[in-house]
Amino acid sequence: MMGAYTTLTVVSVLGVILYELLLAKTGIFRQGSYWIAMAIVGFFQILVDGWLTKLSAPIVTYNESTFSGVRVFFDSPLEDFGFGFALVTLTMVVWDQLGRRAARRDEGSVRGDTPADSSSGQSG
Amino acid sequence: MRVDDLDEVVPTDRPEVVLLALVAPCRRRLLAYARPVDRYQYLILMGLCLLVTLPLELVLGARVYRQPKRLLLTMLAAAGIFVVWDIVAFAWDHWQYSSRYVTGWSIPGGLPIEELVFFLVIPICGLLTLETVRRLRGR
Repeated sequence: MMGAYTTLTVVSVLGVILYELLLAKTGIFRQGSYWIAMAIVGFFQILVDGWLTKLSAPIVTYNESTFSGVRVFFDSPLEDFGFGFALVTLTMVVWDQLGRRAARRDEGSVRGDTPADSSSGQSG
Repeated sequence: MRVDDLDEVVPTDRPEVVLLALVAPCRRRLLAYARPVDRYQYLILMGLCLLVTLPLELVLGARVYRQPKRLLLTMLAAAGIFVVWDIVAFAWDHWQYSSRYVTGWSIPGGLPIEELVFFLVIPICGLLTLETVRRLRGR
């Protein structure tokens, strides 16, 4: 049976992807900058998460029955990287949503005369 | 080996003994010594994350801290969900925190204050990275 942490990780990764694709639609997955940033974040996660989870002196200890049992790099549970992906991606998506909203508002107030521009602004 | 399993505490802060402990066969016993600074280890790690990423804002012009309202709202919405997860996971015993490396200050729900700091710091580091990459690539 799949451990609870494994299940929650899969659900959150899928949830964040679906949230972006179906609701937020910021287009972040089509941006090279996003993937570059995630690669950098991922590299540093190996170090920081590794410091938290290394079995020689762990700050966080995991209940073995709730995750896959697969440990990578410095003893980090594999699930941690799904957790990190979901956390950071959701943050970026919400950040872009709020930015897009602000940009649209500014645009509207500068022009004043035209109704809100329907072009979504940034992409690519 | 878990540090929490260690039973014997060696009261020393002599660096040469600690150094020896790292290579000696009696490592298990000697490592049990907890330096006073250890309980700040998690917080220090988070502080280092902020410190290392600060130049992205100050030098490279990420403009994340300079949009405090947008940042705050993002944190409440995105990081907030994961704090809830963390409280649930902690309650369901998915993971525990070594009392050796945390301050002992906790928030309602029993979560160490360090975890709350984690959910502020890590997303901020992510946003700083994203905005810096965008800026350097000209969006």
